[in-house]
Amino acid sequence: MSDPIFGRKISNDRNLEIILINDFNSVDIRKLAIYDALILDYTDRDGCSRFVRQCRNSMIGTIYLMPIFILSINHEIDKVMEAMSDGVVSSVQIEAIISRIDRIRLRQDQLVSVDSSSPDIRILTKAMRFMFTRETRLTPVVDHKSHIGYNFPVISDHYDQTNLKEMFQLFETATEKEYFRSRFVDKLHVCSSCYSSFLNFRETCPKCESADLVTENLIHHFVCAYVGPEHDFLSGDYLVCPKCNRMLRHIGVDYDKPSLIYNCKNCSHVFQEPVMEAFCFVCKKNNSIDSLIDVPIYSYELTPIGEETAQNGPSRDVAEDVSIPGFITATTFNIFLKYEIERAKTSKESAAGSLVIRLSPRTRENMGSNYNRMMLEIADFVKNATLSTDILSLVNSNTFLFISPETNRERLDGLINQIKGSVIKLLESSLPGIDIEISVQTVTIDGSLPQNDVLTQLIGSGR
Amino acid sequence: MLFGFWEDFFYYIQHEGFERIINLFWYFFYLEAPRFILMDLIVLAVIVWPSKKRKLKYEAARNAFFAENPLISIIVPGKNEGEHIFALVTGFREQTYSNIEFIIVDDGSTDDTYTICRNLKQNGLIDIYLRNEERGGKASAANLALRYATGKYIVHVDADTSFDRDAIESIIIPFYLDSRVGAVGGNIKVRNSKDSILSSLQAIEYLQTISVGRMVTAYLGIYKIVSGAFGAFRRDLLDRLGGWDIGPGLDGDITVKIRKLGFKVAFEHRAVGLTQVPVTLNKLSNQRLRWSKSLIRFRFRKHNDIFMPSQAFTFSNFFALFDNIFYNLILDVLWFYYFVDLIVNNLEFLLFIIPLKLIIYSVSSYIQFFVVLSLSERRRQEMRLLYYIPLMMVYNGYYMRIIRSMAYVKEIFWYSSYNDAWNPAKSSKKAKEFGL
Ligand SMILES: [Zn+2]
Ligand SMILES: [Zn+2]
Ligand SMILES: [Zn+2]
Repeated sequence: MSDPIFGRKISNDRNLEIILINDFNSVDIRKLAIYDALILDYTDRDGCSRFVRQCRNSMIGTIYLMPIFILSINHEIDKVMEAMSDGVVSSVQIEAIISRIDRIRLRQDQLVSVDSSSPDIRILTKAMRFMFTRETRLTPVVDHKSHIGYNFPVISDHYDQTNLKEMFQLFETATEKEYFRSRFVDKLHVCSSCYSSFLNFRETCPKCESADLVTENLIHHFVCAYVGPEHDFLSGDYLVCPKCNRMLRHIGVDYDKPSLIYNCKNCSHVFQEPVMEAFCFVCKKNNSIDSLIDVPIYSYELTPIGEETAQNGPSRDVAEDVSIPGFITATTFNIFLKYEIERAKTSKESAAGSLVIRLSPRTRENMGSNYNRMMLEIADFVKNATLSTDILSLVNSNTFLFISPETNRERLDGLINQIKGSVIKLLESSLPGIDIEISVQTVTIDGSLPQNDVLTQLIGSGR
Repeated sequence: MLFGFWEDFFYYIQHEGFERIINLFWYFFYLEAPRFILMDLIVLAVIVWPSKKRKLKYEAARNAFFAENPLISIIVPGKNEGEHIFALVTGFREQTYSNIEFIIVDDGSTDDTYTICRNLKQNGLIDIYLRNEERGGKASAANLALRYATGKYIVHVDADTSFDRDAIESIIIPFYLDSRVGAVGGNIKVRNSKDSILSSLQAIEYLQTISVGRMVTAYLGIYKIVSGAFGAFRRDLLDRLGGWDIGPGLDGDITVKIRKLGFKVAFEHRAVGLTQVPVTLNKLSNQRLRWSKSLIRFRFRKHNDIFMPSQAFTFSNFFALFDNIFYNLILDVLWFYYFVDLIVNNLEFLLFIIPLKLIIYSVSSYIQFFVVLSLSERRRQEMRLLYYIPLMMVYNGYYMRIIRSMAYVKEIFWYSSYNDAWNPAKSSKKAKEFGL
C-alpha cells in the first residue's frame, strides 16, 4: 500500500498497517478503518487531541476501537488524552507497541457485529467493547474541564455536560444487569439543577442570605455570670469584664468560651448557625446543602457476563424481553447462587454448571433471526432434560446456567454433557455442517468459593 | 357519741373563754392573722375596689404604650426544655401585643431542644437562638440573651410557662402607669391543678401567696421577688446592673438590685402565666428545698448591707427584707416553740385543741380564698379548689414549715446550695471564693 496522503507509514516486520500522523486537518477518519494502528504526533496538541476525540467518539466499531498511540518526546500529556489512547511513546520504535496491537486486534476479532437502535445500548456496547478489547477497567480520570470533575474516557463525550445524569443511569443499569462490577472511587456533591460539582460553599446569614459575616468567641465570666462577645472584654492586651471590672486571667478558671457567634454585617443579625450554601458556577443556582445530589463515582470492570455481552452485544430478545418459562434472569440467578453458597456452608453441597454455545461470528451473522429461534428450541430441550428443582438461566442468548441443589457435581456434569450431545446431534441434523462449539463447566458449591469465582469458573474460562 | 364530743367541745370553748383561746393560739392571732388576712382585706379594699379614676388612668397608660409600640424582648434561658418550647413559641403568636422578639438560650441541653429550636428558627418563629454546648448556668444564659436583646423591655419567661392572651400588654402597662417602675412581676398560677391533691394544694398556695400575697407586698412597697417564670424589666436598668448574678435565687437578687437603684418593683395580677407544678411529694420537696435555701444565701449573706446604714439603705428595702426574713425564718423558729408549748401545756385538752385549730385555720384560709376569688379572672375554674382548703393547714402549717426549716439548717451550717446541681461546678466554685 502506498503512503497515505495524511501520514507516513511506519514499516515493520509484521507487515502491519501502522501510520504516523502529524497533520490532523486533512484526515478523513472514515478512511482510517483499513489501518491496524495509528501513531499521532503530539506536537500539535490541540489538533491531536481533537483527532483522538473524533476517533473515539465515532460510533463505528472499527474507528473507535482503533489502536491509537501518542508520540510525545517529553511525555507531558493531558491525562484524559492518555486514557483515551492506547499508550504514549517517545519514539517511533514500534516493537514495543506491536504486541499490544496484536492483543487488541485478537480480541476485536471475537466481536460479533450487532445493530442496536437505542442510543443507550449503543454507548453501553461501545463501553464494554472498549473495555473488552483493552482488557481494562473503565476508570474515571480527574478532569477540571468536566463539570463533575471526572471524565470517563471514551464515554463522557457522548453526554452533554449538563446531562451527565443519564450517563450514571447507564452505568447503574449495566451494574444491575451484572455486566459491570463497580469499585468505589469518590463521592461527589453536585448541583441539583445541572449536575456540576463546580461549587462555591459559603456560610450565609439565615435572615438576609448575605455572606458578609464576622465571627467572634463568646466569653462567660464565671464569677458574675456576664456573657458577651470577646470585644466586650478587650481592653488593650487584657480581658476585663465590663460588668464587674475584674481582670480575666485564666481560661477554665476565671472564664470560658462557650461558643462562637456570627454577626451579619449586612443586617446585624446574631446567630450561631450560618446557613451553608453551595453556589453553582455553571448555572448560578444557590443550592442549599441538603438539596445537593450525592453521586458516587465508581470505576467499572467487566464481569464474565459482561465479557460475554461485549462480544455478542447486549441481548435484545431472548431471555431479556421475552421471558422463557422456567428460566430466570441473570440477576435473579446471582441471588440464588449467593443463597445456595451460604446454605451449602452449613448443609449438603450442591452443584452449579454452565453450557455455552459458541458459533463463529460469521455463522451467527448468517443465521440472523433464526439464531433466536434455535436458542429457544434448545432452551425448551434443556428445560425438559432437567429436574424441576434445578434452577436455570439463559444469559446473553448463548449461555445456559444451572444450579442443582443438593446434588453432587458428577450427576450435574453427566446431565449437562448428555444435553450437549443431544444439542449437537439436533443441530447437525437440522443445519448440516454447522460450525459449532459447545463447552461445559461444572463446580461444586460447598461454600468455599465466593460467588464471583464460581461465575468466573462457569463463564470466564474456556475461551 | 359524736354529739357528745361537740357538746364537750363547745363546753370547753365556753369554759376557756375567747381571751384564753386567743392566747392559746397566740401565734396565729398575733402574728399570722394580721399579716396575712388583715392585709389582704385592706389591700383588697384599697386597690381593687372599682374606681373610675384608676380605670381612666389605666386606659391612658395602655394607650401610651400602644402608641409608642416599643419592641419587647422575650428571653427564655433554659436547659432541656425541648418539650415546652414549641407550645411556648406558638402560644406567643396569640398575644394581643405583637412587637416582640423571641430569644432562646439553650444552656447545654441534652434533649431535642436543638432540633426543635432550629426548626422554629427556620420558620421564623424564633428571632435568636443561641446554644452553649456546655452548661453555664441560668444566670449566664439569661445574660447572654440580654446581651443580644434589642427590645426596650425584657420579659423573662420560663419555657414551661404558658400565658393569657393579654399577658404581655398587661405586664408592660405598669411601666407606663408610673415612670419609677423598674420591674414588673407577673401573676403565676397553676396549670395542672387537677393532676393531684398536691397540685390542687399548690394551686391554692400560688393564688394566696402570689396573686394576693404579692399584690399586698407590692402595695406596701416591699414586693421582693419578680418571678423568673414571668417578669418584665427595663432593659436600661438590666444593662446598668450587668444582668443577673449567679443563682440560685437570681430572681430575688435582681429585684433587690433594682430597688437599690431607686426604682419601684410592681406586681401585676392581671398579667397571668400558668405553670406546671410538681405532682409528687418527692419532686415538690426537692423544688422547695432549693427555693428556701436561696433565701438564706441572698437575703442574709449577699445583701446584708441592706441592714446597715449606708447609701443603699432605704426603709422600704429594709422592710422588704425584714418581712421576708421575719416571716420565713424567725417565725419558723418561734413556731416550733409555740407548737411544743401548745402540746405540752394542754395535753389533757388536745382532743379539743386539734379540731379547734383546724377550724380556725380553715376559716382564715376561706377568708383568704374569697379575696383570691374576688380578684380572679378565672373564678369559675378556681371554685373547685374550695374543697381542698381544709388541707391547707397541713400543707402550709406542717409540710412547708418542715421543708423550710430543713433548708435553712442545711444552708446556714453547710452552705449546701453551692453544691447544688443548679449551677455548673465552675461557677459555684468561683462564687464561693468571692463570697457571693
Ligand atoms: Zn465579671
Ligand atoms: Zn443578614
Ligand atoms: Zn448548577
